[in-house]
Amino acid sequence: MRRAPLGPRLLRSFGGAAATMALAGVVLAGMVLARPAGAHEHWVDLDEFRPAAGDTVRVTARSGHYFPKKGHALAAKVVRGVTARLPDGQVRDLAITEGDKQWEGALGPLADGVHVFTLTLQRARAPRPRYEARAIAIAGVGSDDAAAYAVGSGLELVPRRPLTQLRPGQSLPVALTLDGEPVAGEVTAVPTGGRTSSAKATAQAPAVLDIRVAGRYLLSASAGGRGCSLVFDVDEDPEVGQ
Amino acid sequence: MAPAAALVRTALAWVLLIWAALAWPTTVFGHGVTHEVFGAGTGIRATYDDGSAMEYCDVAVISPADDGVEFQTGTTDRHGRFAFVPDTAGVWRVTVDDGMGHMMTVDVTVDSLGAIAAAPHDHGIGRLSGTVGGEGAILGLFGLWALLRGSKADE
Repeated sequence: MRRAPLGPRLLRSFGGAAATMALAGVVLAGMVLARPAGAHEHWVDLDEFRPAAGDTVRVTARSGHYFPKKGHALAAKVVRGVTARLPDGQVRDLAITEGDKQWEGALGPLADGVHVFTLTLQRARAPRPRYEARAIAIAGVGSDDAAAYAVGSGLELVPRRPLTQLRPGQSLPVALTLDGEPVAGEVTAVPTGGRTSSAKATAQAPAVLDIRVAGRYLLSASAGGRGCSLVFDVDEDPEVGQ
Repeated sequence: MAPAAALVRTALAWVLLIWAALAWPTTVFGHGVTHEVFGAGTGIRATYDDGSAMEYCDVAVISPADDGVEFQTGTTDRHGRFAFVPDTAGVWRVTVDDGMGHMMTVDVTVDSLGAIAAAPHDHGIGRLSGTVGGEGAILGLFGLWALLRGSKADE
């Protein structure tokens, strides 16, 4: 068969490749949507987010691209430490040790109320932390208080409704604050068993995240050259199990 | 001996003793130091993709003459800057690492000493350039595949 000239061949090739290009667009969209999940984050994780009063909670700090399973321990030179803000407002430094893939510590026995754990990453001589990773545990039944989530210093993500009352299908307003003052930034949410999503926070209004599944969530954001994250747990809807 | 002459000799002896005591440490630590101020050199400024400075981050400089051997190490300043003075022409490799998962390697081309024409060539893939590059690569591959498929259909 005699071949057609190159010009018409090219036109036909690309004209017939519309479906292919559409597929490429879908792939690209997937890449763009998946990109926040692939960002390099740091997080504090707990073995129990709803411990009973008197329990001891195990705290781990990791860094990596795939929350929560794949991560590594950061170098000691950038880890300033892990603290726990207790229900009575006191802040306690946790003794942490460097493991193979994570930093580890423990706090106990816990009192009733909200405990906020903070991992601070800061290089020597740097005037401020580069990253603050937090996790929230609520010990005891009926002791949750959204007003106790904010530490009030550094860059932090602050849920604006009680986490123990949060269920899949609901939305969660989350403020991004710097030293207690709301700032603007994009908040990314990575659930352990769901899709990554994001929403924008402003100085006037918190980001509103759709909570689609139960389980642990990693929220992250950045502002003013600093980064932060927050890990918390969403309980199953009791009606789902019935 | 006249009392005045004895007094002069005693005073002179004390002066010599004090002078010797002051001079002795200089003799013991006889390697003096000096300095010169110069303006030659080149450097980089490292920033995160949000524009903030990579302050106080680890830096390693590899000379083209000693590949694999660090010519200089140090940290960036509070503005994310780091300067060094090349002693040979060629491509100098500078690596900046914040120790928190962010690292970049920059090739700085030094054309000739004394007239450094630094032409940084960033090997780090930024968020935007990475996305655009990935999109381009995928579109290119699919376009090539479409072209080949069209060519086969013509035959």
